[in-house]
Amino acid sequence: MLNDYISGLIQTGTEHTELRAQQTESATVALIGGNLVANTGSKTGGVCARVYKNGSWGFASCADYDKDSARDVLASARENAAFLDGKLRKGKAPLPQTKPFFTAPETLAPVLPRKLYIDYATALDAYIAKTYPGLSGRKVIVKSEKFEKLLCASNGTKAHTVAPRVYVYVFLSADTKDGETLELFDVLDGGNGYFPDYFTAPEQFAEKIDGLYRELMDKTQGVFPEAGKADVILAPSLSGMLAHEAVGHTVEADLVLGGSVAGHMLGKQVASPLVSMTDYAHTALGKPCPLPVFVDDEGTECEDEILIKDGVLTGYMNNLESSQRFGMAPRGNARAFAYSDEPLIRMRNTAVLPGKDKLEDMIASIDRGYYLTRTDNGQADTTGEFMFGVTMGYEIRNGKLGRALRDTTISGVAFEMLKTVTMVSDELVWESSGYCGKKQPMPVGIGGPAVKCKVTIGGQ
Amino acid sequence: MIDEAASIAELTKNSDFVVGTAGADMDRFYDRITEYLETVKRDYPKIILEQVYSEYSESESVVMNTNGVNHSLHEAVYSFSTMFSAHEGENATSFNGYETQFDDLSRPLIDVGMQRTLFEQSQKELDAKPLGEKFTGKILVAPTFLGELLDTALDKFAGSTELINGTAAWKDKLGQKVADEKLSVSIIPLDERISGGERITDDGYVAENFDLIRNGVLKDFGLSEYAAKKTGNRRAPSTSSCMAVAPGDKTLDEIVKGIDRGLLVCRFSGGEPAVNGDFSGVAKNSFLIENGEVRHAVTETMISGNLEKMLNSIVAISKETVEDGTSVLPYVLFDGVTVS
Repeated sequence: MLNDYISGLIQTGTEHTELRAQQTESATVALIGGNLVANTGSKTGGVCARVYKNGSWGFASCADYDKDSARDVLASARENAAFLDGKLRKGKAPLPQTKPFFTAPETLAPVLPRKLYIDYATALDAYIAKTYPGLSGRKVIVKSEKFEKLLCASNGTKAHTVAPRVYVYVFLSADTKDGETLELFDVLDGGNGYFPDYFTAPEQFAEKIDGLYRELMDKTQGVFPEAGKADVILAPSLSGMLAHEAVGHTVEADLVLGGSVAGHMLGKQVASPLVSMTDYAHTALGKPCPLPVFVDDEGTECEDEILIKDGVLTGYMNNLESSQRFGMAPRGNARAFAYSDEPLIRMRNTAVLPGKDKLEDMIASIDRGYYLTRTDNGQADTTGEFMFGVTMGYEIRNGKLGRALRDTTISGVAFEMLKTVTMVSDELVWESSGYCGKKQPMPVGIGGPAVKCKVTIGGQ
Repeated sequence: MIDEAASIAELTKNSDFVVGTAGADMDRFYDRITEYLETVKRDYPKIILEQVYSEYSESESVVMNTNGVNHSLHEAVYSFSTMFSAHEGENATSFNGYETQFDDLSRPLIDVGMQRTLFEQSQKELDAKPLGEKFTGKILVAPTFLGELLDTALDKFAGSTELINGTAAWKDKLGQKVADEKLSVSIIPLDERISGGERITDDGYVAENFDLIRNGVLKDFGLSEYAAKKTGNRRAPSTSSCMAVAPGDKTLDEIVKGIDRGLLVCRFSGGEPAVNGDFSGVAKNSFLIENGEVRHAVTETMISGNLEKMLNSIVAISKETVEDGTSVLPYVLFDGVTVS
């Protein structure tokens, strides 16, 4: 548990200042083909300060954390702000003051021995090897991390937060009849919390692993889709990726200022009226988000940001400085990854909202198209152009699922593609095992329903 | 059960390394960044710099183990990254970016690597057009994409993970031809063209330059010590990714002049290639080549093919190379890629 060496060092109501102590713990255990190839743990931490002065920022961090280092980084951050202010002389007004946020210190769960992860991964690997002897390769990975932060800010915020997460990943490989190796992976379970919250014995995931295996077997018999524009149903993992990559990033206010396509679209119809999208803080549709965030690293209490409402672009995600620029309320999107990182505008739990359709009706509505179920990565441009790798999917022929697909890619322009949405399923499925990359990594939740739309799909 | 392949570095000779120039000159650093921003604004008025990030980093590290290994490293390096796009009214291009490292502030930041070329290309992209008819043929891969392409291919076909997993396509091909004989790929962490580089490997050995592919023949898998012992192969002399591809015998201009129809690919946005090397994705910041000339930028254009086949279908490699402080890479012309 972090000791409090930072309270009282910042006066409330002064030029915007943050002082943050942080400790990050992570552990990884990986088995490839039954061999333990990674067994690592790390614990990093320190203290940082950031100061705003007339439009210029100063930041400093230190890997030592005690009273003296906290005072030193604060002094360095002030010096750095003064250095830049002396050069740039922007003469800007002070940043808006948000209401202070307080959280009581939390009790930390005891540190778990990594042997627990190794034993579990070994048992899981043995289960897979025994149950599916025909595989050409298998990998099991256990990853956990925990972010503990103690934040004091000049708006009076004093927040002590702990955000743990843990996941188990399984990769299966099999050969086609031509000897080509294909792979599929799945996140067995995990999310906000600690290992015992999710994992007891490998058999608890027998059904999920079996589903992954059957899909892999289908894929070894798979075909490449016909290249070109196609009617598709994007499964929740793809619509969530779309929400994050292709829309979310374009409405981050710093990227809007950098020239993203959304800069010209506020208040305009950018999607079908069936499409709504929100960046949730900690609670979505009455349930906890996969990675809840209650206060950001500028000391602003987190609230939901409605990005698209019934197809109309309604908002951007902001930090204090951009909220002042755009005249919008800051809702707690300024987040930093490590103690040595300054807060950037980041998403939290971004989702396309569910609609009213049933998945089976959506499939039945397509004569010739594809049901795309798994993705391994996605990238998007500030123009809204996006590309997702599709690792699993099926043909749809006359309203029914057909042959499996080999690896392919889909692409499009988000705000054009979203206008082609004609059906949205009634379920919201979250994923949270990855990182968003934007100078710093960041754990985020992405979610969505199944969505029927038109995209460009790559062939062989 | 004890895994015999799990081990720590053996002691050869302990070394104290000093890399780069210690101590940042903050005022000069500030002036270089200001000069960069002013130059871009003056010379490339349609460019918006969405992000410019520059850092001076000085670090001290010690690597010790119970075999008596005791290396130290004092490292100082400047790094610079930028993300930008071109704008004219509401017309905007795809973003592009560049990352580089350097040892000192003797050169203007804009002259490091190939940033001027990318800014010029980005402004031309405002007139991007659809590709037109799809074709299977030549793509000219720029240094900005070549490193990623080769990294991915080597990782899939000869990397530690796939070798241990038994799924590496080149697992039995050490010493054999795996690529066109024009291709030679080395890892060069100690080369004077590399800033920072690597002095101590991830396993705790003193790093050395080495060849991965020489004249198309696979010379090394690039394995960690564990993967090497596990698979009965040699440990790679460096665990860095400071890559050099040997230049070819034609100028870039000569290569372009010899292309009837092709695509100059500067950035790739695609899914992770399959284990067998099949890939597809969007060619970003890319230009149509027709009748020996680079024409307009293309919109929404996909490229797909197989990495292993591509490496065996190299038509030409440019004499010119680009040094960005982390790699030394030429332009490479590949055949047999589907552009649609």
